[in-house]
Amino acid sequence: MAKFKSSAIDCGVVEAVQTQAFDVVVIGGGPAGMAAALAAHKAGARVAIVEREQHLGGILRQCIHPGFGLSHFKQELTGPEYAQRFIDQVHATDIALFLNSMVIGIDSGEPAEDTAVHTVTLMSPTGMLQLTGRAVVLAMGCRERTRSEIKIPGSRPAGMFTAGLAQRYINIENLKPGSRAVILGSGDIGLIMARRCTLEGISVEGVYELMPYANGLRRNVKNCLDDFGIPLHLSTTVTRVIGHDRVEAVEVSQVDERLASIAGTERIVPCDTLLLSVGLIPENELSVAAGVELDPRTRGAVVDQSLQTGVPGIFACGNVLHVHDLADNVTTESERAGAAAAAYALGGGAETNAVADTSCELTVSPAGIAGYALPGRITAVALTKLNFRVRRPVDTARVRILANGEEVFAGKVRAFKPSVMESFPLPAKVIQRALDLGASEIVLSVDPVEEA
Amino acid sequence: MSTNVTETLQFNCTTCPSECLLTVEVEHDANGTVVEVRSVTGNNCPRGDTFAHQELTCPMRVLTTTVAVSGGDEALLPVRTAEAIPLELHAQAMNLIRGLVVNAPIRMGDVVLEDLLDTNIDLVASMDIDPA
Ligand code: SF4
Repeated sequence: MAKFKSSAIDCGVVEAVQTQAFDVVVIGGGPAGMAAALAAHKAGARVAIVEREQHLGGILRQCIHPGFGLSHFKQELTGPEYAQRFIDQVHATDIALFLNSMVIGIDSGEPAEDTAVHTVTLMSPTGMLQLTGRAVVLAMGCRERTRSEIKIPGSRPAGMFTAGLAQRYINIENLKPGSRAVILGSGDIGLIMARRCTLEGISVEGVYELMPYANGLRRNVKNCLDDFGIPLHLSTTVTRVIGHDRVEAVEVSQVDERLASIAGTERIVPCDTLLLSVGLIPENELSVAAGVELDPRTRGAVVDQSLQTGVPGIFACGNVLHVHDLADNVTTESERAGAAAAAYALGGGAETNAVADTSCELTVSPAGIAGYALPGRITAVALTKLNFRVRRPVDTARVRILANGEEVFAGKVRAFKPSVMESFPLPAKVIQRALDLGASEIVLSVDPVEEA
Repeated sequence: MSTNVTETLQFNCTTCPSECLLTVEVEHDANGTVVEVRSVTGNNCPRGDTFAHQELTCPMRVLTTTVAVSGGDEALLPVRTAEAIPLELHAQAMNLIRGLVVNAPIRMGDVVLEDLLDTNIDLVASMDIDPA
């Protein structure tokens, strides 16, 4: 009896999970994950990529349109071409690939003996597996906001899709989502899908945008709507979905300055498909479970200038950190994260982080029309790339850096658009100046300027 | 001739991510045909000027779509025209491309259709597809 009992405990309850050791474990095999992995590999780290799909490439596999690579490759590529170049580079290395594998937790089990090592637990086609690494790079990307998050009244018929899901149906799965579409939201994916649907013989009745300006890039408004005569209705939104089994029409209404619908402006637009392009949200469930603090503005991790989160050794980059409008920017940022993760892993942790200066500990906050500022923490007196996005378009505004209420830097006056993620180099001497003023916080303020 | 009209148009240059807003003065004849592009302003570099002239005479765009794959580990192959082709040919090109089926394996850059609609431009694969 005693023997039976002990074997039940050993085998039936706790079965040893196979473990493989790396220096850097990258979660996500899209453009962010591949760039981070390649940079970490180049720095001499042993690297693994975990990807839940069967192939590397992430969302770029379904972004078949051109517009990628203009800054990184100096030529215009399609999404799949941009991805394929990185896939080829990854295949030319000994970076370990775990495809069809879903990460179910970071440091989720018993604390490891070596507390400086992170454990990534994943479900692969061959079973559960644990990967260890001193550094982990979060590169899970983002997902689309859905109807339930924007609360459109009306019935719940079939025929409503996020624009990205329709893109997947048309470009990957060879399925036709409908034949007569209305698009709500002028985000880039919505604009791209307006053209894609039109080319595939799905008529697009119009794109409706709540805000008084288009949310997507100008090039997409021009090449995806203007080229095909598809109307863009600003300050207008879908106020009701009509149809029982399938969408039969939507009711659209104009909105006032406070974005409330104006009674009497309702119009019925017949359609069988409603595509939603109403924003993207970083996909951070794993990060939160691992103890990573999020910024409520970006809904991505709070990071320092090396893209390290509040959990030592965990880095974040790409759309899981903040939503980008260009894949090229994701690549640049992720290369930084990958290199920093490798330096951390190979250097043995924070204590050897050469630039870290314990006397420098500043938080960064947005003000004025800046919707967010990234990184949220600065721990080194060095040239720092600040990213931000404005909340509304302005023709004349300037970036100001404030510390203890004093202006320590002012940029030149120019136009800013919410569709563009801005980047701004913060000079080391400005950071030093803030420290000299005894500040614990730097404020990045974007302020409209009256034209002279 | 006095029947010609001069019109001022505004559109963005899409050659690079700066997306400069161009203001273009253009002269049309009575049929609406562009006689002369009088002036282009708002461009931060000379490519904006070239773009405006092209845009008003024959707008050119890269066409991207998908073609069905036989025997691959994906159902569809993303394809593109190797260079931009006239925008007015896109609908006709789609009708032609819709019927194509390609066999895996396929490598990025493989020619799927040569000399699309006599444009001298090939339709090429955007991605690798391995056998199923
Ligand atoms: S004019 Fe020059 S700088 Fe401006 S968008 Fe065109 S190519 Fe770019």
